[in-house]
Parts: sequence; C-alpha cells; structure tokens
Amino acid sequence: MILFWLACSAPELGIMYDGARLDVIDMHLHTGEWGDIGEGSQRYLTSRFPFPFGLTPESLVEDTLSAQGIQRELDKGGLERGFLYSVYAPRSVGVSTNEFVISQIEQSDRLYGIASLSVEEWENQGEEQLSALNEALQHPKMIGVKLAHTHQHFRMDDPRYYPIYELAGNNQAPVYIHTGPSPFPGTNPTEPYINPLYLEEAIEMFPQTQFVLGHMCYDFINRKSDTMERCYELAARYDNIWLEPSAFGSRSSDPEGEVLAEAYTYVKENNLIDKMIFGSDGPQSPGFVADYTERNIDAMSRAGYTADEAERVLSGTAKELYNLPEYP
Amino acid sequence: MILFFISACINETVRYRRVDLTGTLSSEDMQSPMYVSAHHAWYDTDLLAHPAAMFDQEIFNPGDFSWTIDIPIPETFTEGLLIYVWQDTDNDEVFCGLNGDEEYSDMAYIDDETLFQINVQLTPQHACLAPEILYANFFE
Amino acid sequence: MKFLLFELLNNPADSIGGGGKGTAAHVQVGTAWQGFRLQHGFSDTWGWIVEAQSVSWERWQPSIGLSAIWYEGSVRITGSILGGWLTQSGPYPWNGPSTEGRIQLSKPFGRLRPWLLLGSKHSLGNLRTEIQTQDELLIEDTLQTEWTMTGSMGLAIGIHKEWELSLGIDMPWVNYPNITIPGAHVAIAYRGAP
Repeated sequence: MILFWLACSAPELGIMYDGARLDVIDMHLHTGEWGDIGEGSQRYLTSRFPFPFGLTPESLVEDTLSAQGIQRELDKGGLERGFLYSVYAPRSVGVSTNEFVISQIEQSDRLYGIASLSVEEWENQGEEQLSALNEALQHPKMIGVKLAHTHQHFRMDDPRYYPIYELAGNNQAPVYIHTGPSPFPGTNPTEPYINPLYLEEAIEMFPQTQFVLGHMCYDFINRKSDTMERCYELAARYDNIWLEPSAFGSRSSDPEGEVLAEAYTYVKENNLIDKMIFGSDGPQSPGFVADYTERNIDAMSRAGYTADEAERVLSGTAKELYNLPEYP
Repeated sequence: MILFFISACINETVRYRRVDLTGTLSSEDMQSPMYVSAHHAWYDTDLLAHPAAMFDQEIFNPGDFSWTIDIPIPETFTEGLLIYVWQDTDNDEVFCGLNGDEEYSDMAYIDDETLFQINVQLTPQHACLAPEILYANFFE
Repeated sequence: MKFLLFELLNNPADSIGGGGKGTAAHVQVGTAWQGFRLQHGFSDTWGWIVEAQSVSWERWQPSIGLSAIWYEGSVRITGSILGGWLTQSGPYPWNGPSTEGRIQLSKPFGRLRPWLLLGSKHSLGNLRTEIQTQDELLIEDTLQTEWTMTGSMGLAIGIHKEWELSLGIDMPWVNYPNITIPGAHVAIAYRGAP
C-alpha cells in the first residue's frame, strides 16, 4: 500500500537553495520525432549515445522527447514547468512542427510551447509562413517564438526576415534566438548567423519585441567563452534583451563547471541577474535536465547568489516575461 | 574467393559524382578573393526538403578558375547544382560583415545532372545576398 | 550428498566458466546482450566452441573457436580464441570479420559457482567510397577497426542434475573509447557427461 502511494503520489516540486524551496522553470526543452531529424544529425546524435542506445536510437529518442518523457525528466529534478520548442531546421537538427508541439503541451498543464516557422523558400513562401506562425501563437499555451539563424540559414541582419520579429512583438511572444556556433552538422557557423550584434538593428527597430539570447553566445565548436561578451553587451544596453544559459555548462562542455560559474559571477557583478532566464536545452539524455539544473544551482552558489536572486533566474523572470499563471 | 571476402566487408558506401568546374569570376576588383561554394539546388523531401544545400567551398582569385568538385549522392532526393560566389572586398573573411564593405555575390544554376564538365561565368553584382535568398532567382 | 551430475565428474564440461570434457551449452537472455554458446571438450585440455551473440537484435556476432584449460585446481582457468563475423544495422552499420581472445575463471562452492569472463574483441570493416567520373567508377576502401573489451561476471547455481541457472552482469566497453551502459542477463546452462 505504501509502495503504491509512493509510486502514484505527485513528485515534490522545487529545489532547495540556501534553506529556501525555489520554483524552477526550464524555458528550453525539445520534443520531436526521430524521422523528422536530418540524416547527418541522426548520425551525430547516435554517436553521442552510449552503447547500446545508438543501435536503436529511434525508440529511445521518441520516448525521451514525448510529453510523458519530458515530464519524467522535470520530475527527476523537481522542476515545476517547461517550455517545448518547435524547430524548423531541415538543414541540421530537423523539424518539430508547431502542430506537434501543441499536441504535446495539450497533454500536460506543466508544459508550454514555443512556436517557430520555416524560412526555407522565404522569398516565395514567407507570407504563408508568417501567417502560420501567427495562427500558432493564438493557441493560449504557445507563448513565444524560437529562431536559430545558424540552423535555419538566414542572416540576423537581413531585413527580409524582420516581419518575424514584428509579428512576435505584436503577439507579446518573446523571441528566443540561438546564438553562437553549434556543433551540429549542417549549421552555418559564419558571423552573420551566430553573432547577435548583427541583430542590433532589429533590436532597436522593434523595442516592443523581447529577445532572449540563447546559450549566451557561447562557442560550442571551439569551447570558448570569450564570445559571450557580445551577449552581455547587448543585455546591458537594451531593455528588450534577455539571457539564457542553456547547454554550455553541461558535463561535456564544462566538466568542472567553471564556465557556468564565471558566467553567473559576471552576471551578478554587472547587475544582469534580472535578465537571466534558466533553460537547459534538454532533455538530451535521461537525467540531463536534473543534472543541468543542479549544475546551474552550484554555479549560482559559487557566485554568491542569494535565494531571491536564484529564484529570479530559475523561475521569477520567466513567469513575468511569459506572463505565466501561478502553478497550483 | 578473396575478392568475395573483401567485398563482403563493406560497412557502408558513400557515393559521389566528380565534376570539373571551370569558368570566370569577373570583377573590377582583381585583388580581393572570391569565396566560391557548391550547393545541391534541392535536398531531401517532405518536411526536410530545402534549397541551396552547401556541400563544398573554396577560395579563388578573380579571373579564370578551375575546381574539381565531388557532388555527394546521398540516399535521399537531391536535384540540380548551384554555384555561389561572393567577393571579400574588405578582407574580413565575412560576407557583408559588421562595419565592413557592402559586398556582392552571384550564383549560377546547372540543372543538367549528366554533365561532367561545367563552365560558369560569375560576376558578383547582388549586394549582400546570401545563397538562401539568391537561389530564388531560379525558382520563382 | 552429491546430487548434481557435474559434481560427480572429474573435469566436468562447462560453457559458462569454460573448459571441461564433454558437451556443455547455455542460452542467455538479458538486456542488452543475448546469445548461446555450445562447447565440446574433445580431450582433457582442449575443446571447440560455437557461439552467437546479439545486442538488441541489431548487432550479431557468430563465432567459432578453440578453448583450453590453463589451470585446474580449486579454481579453473581457461583461455579461448575465436574467429567470426560482426554485423550491425542501424545508423552506424558494420559488416566484417572479428576475432576474440578471452580468459574465464570459475570456482565451485557446492551448488554455487561464481565466474568471471574477460576478453578482447577486434573487428575489421571497410568504408567504401565510390566516385563516378566521366571515364570510370573509382572505388576506394578505407579500413575501419573496432575494439571491444568484454567483461562479465556472475553466479551459476546448480538446479537439477545436469542443469544450472546463471545470473550475470555484463560490463563491456564496445567500440572503445565510446561509453557502454552495463547490462544483465540470465542463462540456463546444460553440463552434460563426457
């Protein structure tokens, strides 16, 4: 009977920090289906799986990336809620459509969706894609827009794509921007596609649009953090810029946790804590979300964050920026 | 018997089609390097279909050039060949980089996939147009 | 009181610990390793082995080989060499010959018999590149190698005359230095008379 109760009872959400229990929201999670990942990225992902998972990656990936799988990952780390991203990147990581994301988030009151759009054939189909994005954003749980210029191959400074930022602003949907070069095959690693300084014109032109700079400009290819100054510079200069520290503090990118701790230290010393929104870029592999949350908490502790400051990063700013209701 | 044994030990096979590309990269600026890239005009199907999929790139001086490219033949659908060029007039190695010159590009489309010798004439003339935009000139 | 046949025999056949005179076999199922091994000792020291191993039904390695008892006392130590074929489907296919060398130890304590297997597997394959030029089809093969260190341990339990049940854990390192998740298996083993 006790076993039954233990197995069926709701997990205790929140993490302990400096004697306080804090809510955690992961603003960067992926969902999808194996068949919609490009062949090159399928091989890349498979090569990163421990044996024997790489022999049958499809079942593992689809189980981990389902709404149920992601909730399991949130539970492991005591995370309250998570945002699932639509992705339209056929040249690299593949496609996870708005419709698929909506089908996942409708299964749980702990999951929200971040919409996206295809920029392939933009000259001929841009209007149609904008219309589809606008429609997706009318869903009450689709609360933001995700763009990854390096994965989607479009320049950050090309005005042809500025209507995306305008549309997002009109819908009060913050735009998540992947910054910095990515290790995935098929990405465009040249400066206009990875460096948010190229986005500055759009940032100024659409002050009502909120831009979240994902990965904080970290260079995943050369494993260098000096490019992060670009993101800090923009966050300090513009009210509509936010920072998201996903992935670069993982065990593989930052084994000792030094890069993450340095980032949190810089953010605190330069009064940017209110600009930070926690995300993991999970689920990646079972246990990653919980582990990444723990690593961020360690980094904040090393950087001397108070419990209030940690809660700002872990959930407070996300609740305000995305206008989330309190979770029961 | 030995041949059979050896031929049986194939983990996988990757296939290419070797094409000799020649032509002229024309510009009034005969000093600044030309960045030339080769792209499948179309790659993959359904949700993963996309244009201008790059598979190789090289730097040449303006004027006549010769380049041997191995065009990948993947399991999935591909169609046509695009050759794209931009000229780095400010020598920052970035096409239309921050605080740099307005730079120019051009593109050629070859739809005949039976050719092994291809000649292209390219004259960078489109300001700051990346391949994902310029390809559309050929596919209205 | 001895009621297991192999406890009565001198130099009993054993496919789990290795060695012995006569015929022994076992079938194992588990996650993620499955397989069978048939062994026949044709002298006090030497025997032949036929076996096949599968991982998640996507990777198969059939092999034949020779085994020899190196030491027989309170502990039995055997060594084996095998040759076979490795074939794997999935995103990283493999298709080529393989060899394996291994050492097995076992020590009986009445019905219980802990055992240990350590081995090294090597396989060769080719990545073929075909380039169609105007005049000919150029074919180039690039040799690829795979090295797997095997390690298993477990406990065999005598259950009825000629039969044992074995529980084991598998801790190989497949395609070193890639990381491998450990596995576990259960096997039913036959240890027949010479």
